[in-house]
This record gives sequence, structure tokens and C-alpha cells, in this order.
Amino acid sequence: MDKEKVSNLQLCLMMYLMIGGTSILVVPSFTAMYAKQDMWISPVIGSFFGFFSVTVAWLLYRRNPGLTMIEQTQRLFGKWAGSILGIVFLLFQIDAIGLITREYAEFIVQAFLPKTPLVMIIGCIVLTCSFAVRSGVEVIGRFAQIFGPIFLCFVLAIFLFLLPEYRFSNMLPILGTGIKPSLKGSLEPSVWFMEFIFISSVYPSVRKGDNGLKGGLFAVFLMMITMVITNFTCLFLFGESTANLTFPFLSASRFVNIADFFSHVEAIVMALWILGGFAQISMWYYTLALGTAQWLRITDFRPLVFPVGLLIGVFSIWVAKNFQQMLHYFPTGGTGSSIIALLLLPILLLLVSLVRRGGARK
Amino acid sequence: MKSARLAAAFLLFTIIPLVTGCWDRTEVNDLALIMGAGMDAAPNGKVELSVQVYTPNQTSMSSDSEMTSSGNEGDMVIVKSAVGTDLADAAQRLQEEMPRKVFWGHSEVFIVGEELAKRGIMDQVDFLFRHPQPREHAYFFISKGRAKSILSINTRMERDSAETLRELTVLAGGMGVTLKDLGGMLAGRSKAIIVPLIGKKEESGQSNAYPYINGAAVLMKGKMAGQYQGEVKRYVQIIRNELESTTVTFPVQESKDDEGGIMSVRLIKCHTKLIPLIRRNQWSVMIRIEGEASVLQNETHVNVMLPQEMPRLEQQLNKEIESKMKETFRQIQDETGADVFGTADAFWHKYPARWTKEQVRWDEIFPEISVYAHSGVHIISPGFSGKTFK
Amino acid sequence: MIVLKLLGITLLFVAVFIYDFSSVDPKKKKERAAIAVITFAGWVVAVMLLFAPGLPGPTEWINQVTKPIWVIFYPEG
Repeated sequence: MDKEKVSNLQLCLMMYLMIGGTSILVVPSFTAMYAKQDMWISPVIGSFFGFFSVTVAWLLYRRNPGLTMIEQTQRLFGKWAGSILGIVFLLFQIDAIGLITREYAEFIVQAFLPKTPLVMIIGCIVLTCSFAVRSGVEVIGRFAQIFGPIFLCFVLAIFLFLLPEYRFSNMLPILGTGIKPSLKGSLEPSVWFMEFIFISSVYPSVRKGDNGLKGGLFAVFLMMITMVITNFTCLFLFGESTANLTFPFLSASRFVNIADFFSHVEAIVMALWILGGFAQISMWYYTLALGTAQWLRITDFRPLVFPVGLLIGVFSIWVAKNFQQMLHYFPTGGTGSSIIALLLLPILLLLVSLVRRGGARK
Repeated sequence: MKSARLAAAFLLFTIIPLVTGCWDRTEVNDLALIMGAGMDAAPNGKVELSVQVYTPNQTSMSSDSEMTSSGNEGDMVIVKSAVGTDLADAAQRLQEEMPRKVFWGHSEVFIVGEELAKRGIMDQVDFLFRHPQPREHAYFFISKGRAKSILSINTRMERDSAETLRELTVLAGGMGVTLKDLGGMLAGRSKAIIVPLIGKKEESGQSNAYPYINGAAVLMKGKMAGQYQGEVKRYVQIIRNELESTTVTFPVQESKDDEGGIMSVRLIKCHTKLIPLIRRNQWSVMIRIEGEASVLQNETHVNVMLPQEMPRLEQQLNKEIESKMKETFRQIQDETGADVFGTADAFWHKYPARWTKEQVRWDEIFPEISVYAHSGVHIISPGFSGKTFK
Repeated sequence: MIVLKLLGITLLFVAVFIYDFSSVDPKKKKERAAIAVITFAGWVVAVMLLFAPGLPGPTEWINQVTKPIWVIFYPEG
């Protein structure tokens, strides 16, 4: 496999879209439910985990250069333990990607195309992403480079369009009941920020001389800003009844009505969703395919792409019976499994890596 | 092996055309665009849904020759209605009568009839929020009498009555309650709703009927609790900080002679704030208004050009405003027990911990709240003419 | 109807399998084996879902297994 190279900027935007592609829709509702008027603080708290994950990934990469996390587990833990840990990690990924794809498809069906079967939408996006993944990480990087800024601009645009309708008093009282509500609301965003650990799959492909740490940290920062902006949009517009809406940002975008002329802007949100979803699923797909190939110690992941795609499609159907069950999974099993796979596992790796270097002869 | 690949690829490609053809494709002229909808109470606990459907085909068979002279010819809208157990059921029956697919996305206006408002709107309004199509930007009203009769009005100035209502709300006098605002009020702390009330004005026969905003309806927990017109409504809006400008008429007491008079000023900019206070266990709120006014009509001997007259006039003006505000607040407080002013939110902002503890008792607390008012309006200009003619 | 769906799914999986299988050097046993296994696993789950759509998925299982962790944050579940 010829090593393709990705620049620092591309890395940053790829990670940004990987985590944030679909977050704009679900975050406001969740944070509003627990944090109410302090819902904009929750993503800031959550971003701490993002910075943490990027740093852990980077440290691991420095100690084990050229390797992704799967390869690192194999190296640090040896053949048997490494494989077991590896498969746990992979299983987490396939479950997660099934959920993400499902979330993506559910939104499109619920909000825009109610009669279209889920399978159809899932099939379309997985197929499209598979072409991107098969072509290599550079392709995804270039896509992110073009569309990442566009994504952010549109989010900002919707926020600005709604300015005349805002009630800024909705954010009072700031921290009225203390920091606890914001903490409770920050759990789900934190879980998502932990996913930044996947930056380690892309690190081997980063161009020499580019600082992967800076890119990763900036991506976390962009993610945080995006979440805060979307939360503010919903907070200033709907206040606490944000928690009642299933798709608050979409509902907010429907409210845009400039001079009776410029309205029905929800089409933009749909476009954002598809762009973001494409980038996100492609990135997870790439990580999964690459990880599987590495776990099997195969050099080229490309032949695996289509079969893995089928598996993704199947899992996204299997993962939940209906929309409510899918949504319910995020604070429950999603939190639990993410903490294990994205927090504990990397920390464990880092500790072992430090110990081994520290006094090791192995 | 290469041919096997080719065959497989070919197979994959042929599957694609079989699944094309979107499931959700609907052509525009297969849609019945709903411009406005009304909900009325029907016997046996049912609801009647009436909709104003946009029909762009102009009927050339217009028997009224005077209609063609004004820019709008023919009937641009049709009103259809159906009765059902609830709104969703009625909507389904309505769809069954129509040759086109019902589309709510363009509905600008939703009206609930008086009877249904008295019965309670919470149940039916759920449909408007849950259904993906109705827009959050649509305006919500309660009508005196049946909503259907408002929708059926053939208006001259605007395209249809829905459009008329929408334009009316945008003007300062109307309070615009959108579905988003309604949702906020329903989910809000005080569970009190205030919504514009529309009535139908008829002048010289049926052909000149038009809808207009008549007042405001106050609902408590979704049920109509009171209707307020005129001055009371205006003051409610002032306290809610919604009214940008209005006229205040107040009596002026001459200090030397007994002859008084009335003066009217126009409030140009005013800003109202509710300042809550909890002292021991007594909850009270102070309504504080600041603003500027200019003299509109002077029926007294006072010379409004003289600056030294201003403090006295302002004092009288402010006294009038204060007493009116207190009166209005108490009236709504006593008659409906509905906190439409945002008092609950004011307490939450200032005393979050205390509020969280006591909020379950809000329905008992609110009627007991004592209200004070402070008005700081300044008269900044005398208007175009100076001395009075008296 | 179900037979048709089954046929369609099988056809899809077989097509993908053949495409990838043949694109890989016959010498590389590992790659071929991987493709075969993954495709087959996917097919099995797809067919299972076709016949038993309400099959409990990984979600339920993970919810159970990781309960001790998330219950700290969300006791109400």
C-alpha cells in the first residue's frame, strides 16, 4: 500500500467532521434536558475530554511511531492479549458505526422522506462512502478540506440569520443552580469528544513535518465552537423548550424568515447533514477497515472495504428496533462502551507504553 | 478471473435501476397547499378542522362584476372542513376528500375557535407540534366564535384572510404569537398562555367583512380563562414589554385653579421590567417602566413648551401609568390566576434556588403576589404645535 | 415475497464477494479468507434479520454488560 499523505489542515478537518458531522442535530436536545439554560456550558466541559484524547493519541504515536492503535496494542501486549484487546476495540467500532449510520438515516427518513425505507438510505450512503474509503485516506482528507469550512460557515450562517429573533435573556440565570446541571448535560458530548482518540488511525498518514498535535487540538476546538453555537441558537430561540424538540437545530432553521423572502432554510440543514454524515461515516469506515486489516496483519485494507460495508449496513439495521431505542442507547450503553474503549483502553495502552520504555529491555 | 469480476460489477450496476424512483417524490401540482387552518369544537367532544386551500386556478365564472375591478379576481382559496375525534383524525378525513396531498408547510395561520378554547387546547395543539410539516413560524390565534367563519371571509385587500391576519400581527398593535412562542408558553414555568383574539367585522353587508385583531385571550393550562380587549389588553402588552408605542391619556390636576383637563401623550420608546422580591415569605413584584413620550393632544391650560411644567406633568402621567399597570396586573391575577407576564421567569432568574424549591406551589403563590409599580416616563417633546389654543 | 428478498440479499453479498475475491491475488490466502469470512458473517446476520426483524441486537447486550458504568450517571436509565 503506497503511503498517502495528509496535511495538517486536512487532518484537523477530517477529525472535526468525523466527530461533529452529525452532532449538531442531537446535542442541543440532550444538553437542554439536563442543563437547561446552561446548555452552552456543557460542550465546553466536554471538550476537555477531546483535548485529553488527542493528547493521549499523540503521546502514544510518539512512543510507537508509524503505528495505529490496533498495531500498538499488538506491539505492546503481545500476540494473544493484543489480539483480544484489538477485537474489543474493533467490535466497539462496528457497533458504533452501525449506530452512527442509523442515526444519519433515521434523521433523513423522519424529517424529509418518511416513506423511503431505511435500508435504501443506509445503502446509498454506505455505498458512496465505500468508494471514498477504497480510494484512500487522501481522498477523504481533501473532501474534508473543502467541505469542513463550508459546514462551519453554514452553521454560523443559520446562527446569524436568526439574530433578530433571539431572546438573550434565555441564558439567565447563568449557573443559577450551580454547575451540576451543566455537568450532567455534558456527559453525552464528552463521550463524543472521547472519539477523538481515532485520530491515531490517521497519524501514520500525516505528512512529515506537520504537527499532528496542533491539528488534533484545533479540531477539538472547532468542534466545541460548533456545539456551543448550535446550542446558543436553540437556547436563544426556544429557551428551555429545546428539550421537547427532537431535532431542535432543524426546527430553528425552519424559523429563518428574512423579509418573507428567504425562508424554508431547512434544506440547508439537510445538505449539512448529508455532507457531515458522509464525512463522518467515511472516516469511521476507514478506521474500521484499516483496523480490521491491521488486526489480521494484512497489508492492504482495500479488498476488505466492500465486505465491511455490507457488515456496516447490516449492523445499522440490527442495532435498534426503532428510533427511540436508538436514541436511548446514547446515554446508556453508548456511554459505558465508549468509556471502556475510548478512555480506559487508550490510557491503559499509554501506561504500558510508558512502563515499557521506562525500564524495558523487551 | 477477470470475467468474473466484470460479471459481478455488471450485476451490481443492474440492481441500481431497479431501486430508483424515490418513495417520497411528490409533484408540486399534486399538493394541496394549506394557507391557514382552523379548529373548532364539534358536538360529542369531537373537533372540526377547517382549512383554507390555495387554488391558483382563477375561476372565470365570476358573477360579481365588481370583483374584477379590484386586482384580485375570483376565489383564490377554498375552505374545506371535516370532523374527527381529534385533529389528526379530522386531518385524515379531510385528506380523503381531496384530490391532492395535503401540505401543511405553507400554513401561515392557525386559529382555534372560542368553544374549543374553552374546552381546552392542549390536546389538539400537540398535533401541530408533533407533525413534521407545520412551521414554527406560523401564527396562532383564538377567534371569537367559530374559526371556520374567519377562514371563510373573502377579503379585498389581501389575497385571503390568512394573509390578512398575518399582516396584522406584524404591525405593532398585534401581538404575534408563533407556534414556537406557544410551545414555549405551554412548556414554560407559568403554564399560562396569552394569544391574540380575532373577531370578524362586518360593514354594510357580507361582501365587506374582514377579520381583525380584537383583543387577547388568556388561557390557563390550555383552557380559556378570560378575554380582554382595549385598554386592558394594551396594558398587558406593556407589562410584557411587547408594545413599542401606544397612547396614554391621563387627567391633569391644575395646582392653582380647580379646572383640570386631560392630556394624551404617545409613548414612543418604553421598556418594562419585572423586578421580583421575596421578603421572608412574602412574594412581590415591582413593575418598572422607563420610556419617552411626546404630547399628542393637550386639553388643558398647561403650556407644554415650558420646561418647568414638565416635572408636574410627568408626575401625573407616571401616576396614571402606575395605577393602570397595577390595576391590570391585579385584574388578570384575580380573574384568571394566569401569569402571562413572565413573573415566574423573573423569580427564577433572581432566586433560582428558592424557585426550584417552591415551583410546585406556583399556582397558589401567584394569586397572592403583591404588585408595585414604578413608572419613569419622560415627556421629551411637545409635538408640533406649542401653546394650546385655550 | 420473503423468498425474493432473500434472493436479493444473497445475490448482493455474492456479487460483492466475487468482486473482491477475484481482485485479490490467489496467493494471498489471508486476504481472501478475510473477505470470505466478513462477507459470510454479514450475510448470516442479514438473513437472520430478514426472518426475525426484532432480533435483539448488540445494543441490548452492551447495555447489560456496561450497566455498572452508566448507571452511575443515569440511574433512571
